[in-house]
Amino acid sequence: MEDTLSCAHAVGMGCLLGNINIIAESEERDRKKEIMLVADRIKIIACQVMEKEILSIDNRKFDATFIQYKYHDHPEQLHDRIQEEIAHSCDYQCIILGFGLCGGAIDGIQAINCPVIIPRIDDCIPLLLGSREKYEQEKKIESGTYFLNHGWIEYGNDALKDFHKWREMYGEQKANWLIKEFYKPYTRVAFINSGFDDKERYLSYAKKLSDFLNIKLDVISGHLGFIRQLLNLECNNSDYIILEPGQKAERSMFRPNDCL
Amino acid sequence: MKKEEILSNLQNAVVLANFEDALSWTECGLKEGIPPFELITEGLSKGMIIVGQKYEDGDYYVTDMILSSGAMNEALTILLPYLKKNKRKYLGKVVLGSVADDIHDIGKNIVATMLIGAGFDVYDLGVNVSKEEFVNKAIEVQADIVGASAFMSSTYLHQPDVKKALDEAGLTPQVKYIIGGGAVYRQWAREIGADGYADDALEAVNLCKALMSAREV
Repeated sequence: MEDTLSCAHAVGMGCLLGNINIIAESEERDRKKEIMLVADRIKIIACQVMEKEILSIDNRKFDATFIQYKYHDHPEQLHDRIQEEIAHSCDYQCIILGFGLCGGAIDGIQAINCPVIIPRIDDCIPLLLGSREKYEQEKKIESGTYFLNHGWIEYGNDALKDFHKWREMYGEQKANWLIKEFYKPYTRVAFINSGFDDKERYLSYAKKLSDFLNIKLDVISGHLGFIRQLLNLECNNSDYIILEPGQKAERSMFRPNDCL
Repeated sequence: MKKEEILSNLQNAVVLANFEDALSWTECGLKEGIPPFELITEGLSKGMIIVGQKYEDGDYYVTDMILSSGAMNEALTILLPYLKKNKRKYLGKVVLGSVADDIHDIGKNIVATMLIGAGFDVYDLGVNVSKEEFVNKAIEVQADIVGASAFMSSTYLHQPDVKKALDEAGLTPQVKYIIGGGAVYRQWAREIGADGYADDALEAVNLCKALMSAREV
């Protein structure tokens, strides 16, 4: 009798917990649907390196601000810059960030007047490749991959730019030594080709970079799917975070759900 | 040449990241009979402490720190064999490594250098270190502290695995587990039950000293 009761209790609890999970997931889906219905004016705040990719998507009307890549050098400055843009976007119904955790810059970002949607990624590479799964695949192929796209080449840092900067600061010998220290983990350059014009110019630069580091160059296809889904709020629930007004982002939100 | 002058020049070689001077003043110091350990603690290490302070004050970039650490390491290649030959009492034994799947090591290397300078016996396992390697080394050398570094947001999730492996091997709580790295933060250290977290190399040294002092009480 006791066993039967405890079994029934366990089954009951299991059903209850199962129902709670279904309700939670369903509430997230409803919230997404709600945002999509209500949001007539959407603001995108994204990193400069994916400006071309975002502007090439024309599925719905949105306004976009692109933040200079240079702020990535100091995550606390990037944080302040993003928060400033959120504060200036009070008359939108929804804000979508085109950033990952980005060295912790997103930690503490606060939604003010409207929900803020953030992709659940550590950096923007999955957005350029089309999915987190594609990113994991490429890292499995070669863990020491230095990803590059046209946006990084135009606006970001890389070993060639670092070398020139450090040579000015410290002289050639020390600059060479620093390049070896900073870039020794990398065994290939992977240029993400998103199919834009001027591909040859960027590919040529990527080749110059790989030759400089004496590592191989691969060209991999970019894919706009993840960005498109994000802008249309069509992602799986696990792919993004919704901050309600007043809520702050925390690093723990970027962890996989089964961690700890 | 006076000992104080040699040690001062050695400090400067580190502060200015002059690799050649770091080597030549080390050799000069050895020729003058200055004990190798003193060259490390009173020369090289004091130079790195000045560098660390300059970095905290915003006068030095991270590249300056890395260069200075490099100059100190050049000198250590000459000095460490002397330390191994002459038995001496270390402040403690520390096993360090970058966690599994993490191939970055610049910060960890600076920590290793400064711990050596502070008088610790350091066993650096390098990068992409499995939890088993951390445990095996800790057992082999009878480590006092195990330090796991993670630079990336995707790899710091391995830090709890190392803690769990140390627990299951029966090494904790005697062996202390500390974490750090670009992706890591203080709250995370608390969540996973680490014994400490360090934001930079100076803090790591002070943390290890504090953990060893607490043991003596």
